[in-house]
Amino acid sequence: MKNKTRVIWTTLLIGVLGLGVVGYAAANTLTGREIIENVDAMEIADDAMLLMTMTLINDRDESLVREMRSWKQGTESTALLFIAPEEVAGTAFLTIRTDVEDDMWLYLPSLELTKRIDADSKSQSFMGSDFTYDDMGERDIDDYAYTFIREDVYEGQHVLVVEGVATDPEDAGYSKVLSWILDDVWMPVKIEYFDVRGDLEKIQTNTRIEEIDGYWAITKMEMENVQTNHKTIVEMTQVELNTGIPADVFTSEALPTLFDRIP
Amino acid sequence: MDKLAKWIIRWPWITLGILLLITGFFLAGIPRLQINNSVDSMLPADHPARLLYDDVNDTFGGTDVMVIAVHSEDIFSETTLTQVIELTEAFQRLPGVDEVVSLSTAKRMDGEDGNLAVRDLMPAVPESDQERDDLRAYVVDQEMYVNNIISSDGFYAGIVVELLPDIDDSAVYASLRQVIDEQENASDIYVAGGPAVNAEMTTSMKGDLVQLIPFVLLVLAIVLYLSLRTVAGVILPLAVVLLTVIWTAGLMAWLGIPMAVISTTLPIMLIAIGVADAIHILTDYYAGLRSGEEKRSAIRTVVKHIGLAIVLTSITTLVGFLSLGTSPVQQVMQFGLFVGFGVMAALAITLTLIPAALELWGSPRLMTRKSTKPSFSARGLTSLSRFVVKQRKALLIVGGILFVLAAIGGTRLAVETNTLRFFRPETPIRQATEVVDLSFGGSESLSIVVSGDIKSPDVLNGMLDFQDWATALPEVGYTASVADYVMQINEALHDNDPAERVIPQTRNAVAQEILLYEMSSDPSDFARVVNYNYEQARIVLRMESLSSSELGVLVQQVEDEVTRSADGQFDVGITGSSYLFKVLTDLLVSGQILSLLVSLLGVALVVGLIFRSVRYGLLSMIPLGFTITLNFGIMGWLNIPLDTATTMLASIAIGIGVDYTVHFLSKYRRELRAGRTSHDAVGETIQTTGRAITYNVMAVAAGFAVLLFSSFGPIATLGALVALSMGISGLAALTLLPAALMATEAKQKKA
Repeated sequence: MKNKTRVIWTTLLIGVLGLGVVGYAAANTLTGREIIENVDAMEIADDAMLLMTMTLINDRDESLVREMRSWKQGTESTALLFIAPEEVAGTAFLTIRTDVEDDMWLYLPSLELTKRIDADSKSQSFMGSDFTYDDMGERDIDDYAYTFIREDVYEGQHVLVVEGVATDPEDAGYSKVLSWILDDVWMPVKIEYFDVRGDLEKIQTNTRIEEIDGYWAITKMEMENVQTNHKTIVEMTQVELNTGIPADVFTSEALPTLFDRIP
Repeated sequence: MDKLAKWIIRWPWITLGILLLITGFFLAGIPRLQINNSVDSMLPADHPARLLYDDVNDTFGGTDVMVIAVHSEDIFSETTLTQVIELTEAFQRLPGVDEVVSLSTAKRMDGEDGNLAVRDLMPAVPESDQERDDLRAYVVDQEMYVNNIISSDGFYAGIVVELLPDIDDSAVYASLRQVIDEQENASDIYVAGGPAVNAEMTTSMKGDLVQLIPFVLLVLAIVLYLSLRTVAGVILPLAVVLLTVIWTAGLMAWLGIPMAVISTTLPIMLIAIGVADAIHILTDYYAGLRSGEEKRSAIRTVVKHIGLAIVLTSITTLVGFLSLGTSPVQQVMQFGLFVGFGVMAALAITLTLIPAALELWGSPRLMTRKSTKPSFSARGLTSLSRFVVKQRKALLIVGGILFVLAAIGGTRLAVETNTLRFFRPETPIRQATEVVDLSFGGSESLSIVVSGDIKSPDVLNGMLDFQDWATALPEVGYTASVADYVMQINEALHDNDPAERVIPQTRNAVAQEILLYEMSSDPSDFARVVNYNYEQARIVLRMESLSSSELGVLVQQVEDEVTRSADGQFDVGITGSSYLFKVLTDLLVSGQILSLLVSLLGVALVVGLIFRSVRYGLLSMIPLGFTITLNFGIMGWLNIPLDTATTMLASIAIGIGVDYTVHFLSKYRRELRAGRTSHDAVGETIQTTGRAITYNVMAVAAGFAVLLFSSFGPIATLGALVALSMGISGLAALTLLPAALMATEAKQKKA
């Protein structure tokens, strides 16, 4: 259980840091597993500061926009601060992943309340979005058994299609994951998620992948739940890597002060 | 008309062949016939109640719920909890099910020592007694869960199944029922709620009609045989009825118009209408033969005389039913149009099938017996005719008194539909509803839609004020809204301090608490109680099964109170399928009354035109008006409410009653033209046409009396009332109509 929450707050960064959501790698001579290991092996930055916009769109085409700033160190620590809309501005979350367990903290400015959160979040929605914590986070590479399916061309780019079948679907939250992976930069461009019953549930498209300071990053991604017709778009509007974020940002005491730490 | 008869007599096989072809065409369509029993589809699309209902369904998902109660001595035992988990999963998989809420889907928020835990209420079945006690202690303390996923007495676990909008209730209910029936303790599991009642109603109505119609036809056949005393006299009317039903149902199928609950009475109407034409033709035909006429010429005479009369009666009946076209309820309108088609089909079939069949049948054996002694029925009719002529004034006075008494009774008539009382007390649906109403405080749902700034503490507190008021009502067992969630979060955030089970003071605090909840759930969790932009919220109110008038009172109370609670902070609207049903009932009844007036006037107009006589037109209203008034009067005095089923009755009364009147007038005028005096003409008409009318009344009334054996209230009532109104209508046509004819004739002569 702990394993699941652990990388939650690293999540938004993962694309940025070039980790890839589920590791996939490729070359037609490689096995599915090797492709994934290639993706997993992409080099990541030491730390990152991001400004991001999350747009939620429901089946009636109504949308909600939230703006967040996040600080991230390695794969261990993430602090996340809501800056818009005004009503939730200042609300902050902190995730610290250690070998023993994951710590999750919450700060509500209106009540001036800091709380330690204990939630079984695995397949739950991230911030009311269509991404689960796991979609955003780093899946354990061993949760799935991989098979290389075919080479393909996706929007003019050469990709390798890899299928991952969950060893324990209930635990993984999905029965199967199908990924389209760019074999030059080892980044997924599209991922299809199949629910526990085996039906297509969600489609993730990484619509913008760019190189920042020598690291490959996904800076815009979309997740559409084809069963509920609900959609989430996450866009990184500002990315700063290796700025040397002080360690005290990643403490529960710092949550109420995050606003002052915006550069 | 005579040319037609001649042609048919010459080519009887071809006539039958053509009929068979047409019938085959319609029969082929019947497998496509669809059934639609949803209440919302019956309301006009632009009716405010329907608009709000559709809007709520659209915004918040399905508003119709079924409540499944699982009885157990200890609902927190391993067995029961395991069953709740299994049933919940099984229900979630059923097509048409939107959302299932139970102990196994609910969330739990706990706050202790600065920690906040958000997790599934029951991730797995508790293994130790301590875990079980902990679960119990938490659940019984949550207002959102008591009377929802557990009963207040603690002996029932609740599973609330929300249906997708615009779904066939019956199909979902049937598949859900199947899951339950597979359980070992199926008898301890109760299913209640609007869709369940609706589904049971459709099933009972259809099932009963299918089972009873053969008996109706059997009784009809017996009465026909006793009246006409020939095999042809039984088979031909029944054949007309059968073909008429096939043609009409086939037309509906080919046009893709689904059968609704109302149209299940269509076969009944068509039986009553179809048999009438046939009886008139056959009665006259046998009378002709009896008077020594040769078979072919008897057929031709009958087609010429009665043929014209049944064309006229069909037109007037058509007018009677087309008046339903004024109904605001689309399905009633369609029903009127299809009965209209049935009337015309019956006419065409009667005028072709019967002459052709009679031609082929050979000479009837029974009728060849020449009896010098008048039959019992003939003697009865003779004395009736003498009585009518002699006591014409007394008849009018008695009729007038009865009319006034009935009119007084009519004012006592209540407009009321109590769907649940349609079922006998021992039926499972009624018992289930009683169990759920008693232990959960209600099985029917209302949605109160609040429009405003939902994150505002004032609005949330206003909603809570209203909810507190509503929960205190004896009819209401449960309410829930987004305000309950906010209180739950606030309490958990403050280390489970019960004093913090309140709405926080600022709008930002509400927004942040909601964000926290969203973090730990998925987007659809709140979608059921609040819309995307937090501009509209829904208060779910669960109440006992009420009759339409009780519901009307409750809704009015709710509307007043919620408006008061809103205090200008938000707007409200109330909807729900039970409420739609109430609106529908009111519409049906008011629409029906308008239709009745229109048809009464329409019939009078047509009769007046046919006979080119204002007097005949006005007089034709007497038996019709009398029958309808007496019907409603008797219902009033016997406290039988005017509901969705019984309102249809008046149409039958007009549709069939008008036949008697037209036949009578047509024969009477023929007699007058033959030079008889008014008194003699009445005497002659009662003895000839009166016979056909009497047979008709007896056949249809006896046939419908069979429906009294229905286990389903509305059908039994309908059967009794149709039988009664046939009797009244026939009697009025044979007594009041001639009395009035003679009275007005006399005046004319004086003038």
